[in-house]
Amino acid sequence: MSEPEHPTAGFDELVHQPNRLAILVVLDEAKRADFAYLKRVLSMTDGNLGRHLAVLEEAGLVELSKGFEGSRPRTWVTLTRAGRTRLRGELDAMRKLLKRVRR
Amino acid sequence: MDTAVSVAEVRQQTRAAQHATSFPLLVLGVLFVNYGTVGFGPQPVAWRYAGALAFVLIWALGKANEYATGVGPARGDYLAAAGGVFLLTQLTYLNRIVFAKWATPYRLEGIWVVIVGLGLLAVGLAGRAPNLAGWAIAVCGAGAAQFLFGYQGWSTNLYLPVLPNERVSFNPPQPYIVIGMGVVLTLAGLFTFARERRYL
Repeated sequence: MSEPEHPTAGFDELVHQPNRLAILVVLDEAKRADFAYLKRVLSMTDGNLGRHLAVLEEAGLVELSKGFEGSRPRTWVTLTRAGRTRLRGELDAMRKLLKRVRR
Repeated sequence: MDTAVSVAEVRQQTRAAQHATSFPLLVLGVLFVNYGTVGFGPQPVAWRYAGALAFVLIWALGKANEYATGVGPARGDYLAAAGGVFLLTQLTYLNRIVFAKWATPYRLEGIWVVIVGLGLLAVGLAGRAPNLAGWAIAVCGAGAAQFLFGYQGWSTNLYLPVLPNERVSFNPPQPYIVIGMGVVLTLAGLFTFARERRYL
């Protein structure tokens, strides 16, 4: 009988990166968040956050909508259905790993 | 393992920024204190609309908070819950219920509290917020207690016709159960609000 696959095999390279994982978790909890909030709450720089959002957007996991409120530019980030599915998969893999470690 | 811990922390921090727990507790607490105190007496908003409007208010607070802080409202659809609460509340006005022998005003008020509790339970379950679901069960329990043990002697009010076999008494005891639930919810809401602010 073959060994069951190790839980880490279920990790999603793109989602597992801690900053991207944190962004997706915030967006999963809230329906959307703006760039400034994500930057502040995750203690990231503009450039760093921008790069991670670009990666997530390119993979179709988040959607960015840029606009103005008054004269202030504001970028809202929303989790897509694919993003939610990939996040669930990643969290499941993490849960399985924790379960295995604690056994 | 650090990642698993930080996922939980990020979730908690987001919920704190949304005031996902304190807003509903505060709004529903004030609602129950107010309508428990005045009962079916004259109100700026009739009680049959107030429950649904409370859920709309929670939704509006979430939207206002979204524009102020940049984090979207909590999961769980308060507008859908408002619709459900509104529909169920209107059902209590069916002749079959409102003119039933057992339907004293305090029993109807107990049913209304249970309906509001069910609305909160639906939001808590949909939003995977066990603390809200727990409070919702407490609210349903208070409504059921009001129905079962609330003052039952006063069987009519100004809005309902007095039936021949009904007895009208003045200055009936207030429904302390609903008021008590409202006070507890309000205090819990204030405490949670302060904790959420500290967490930010």
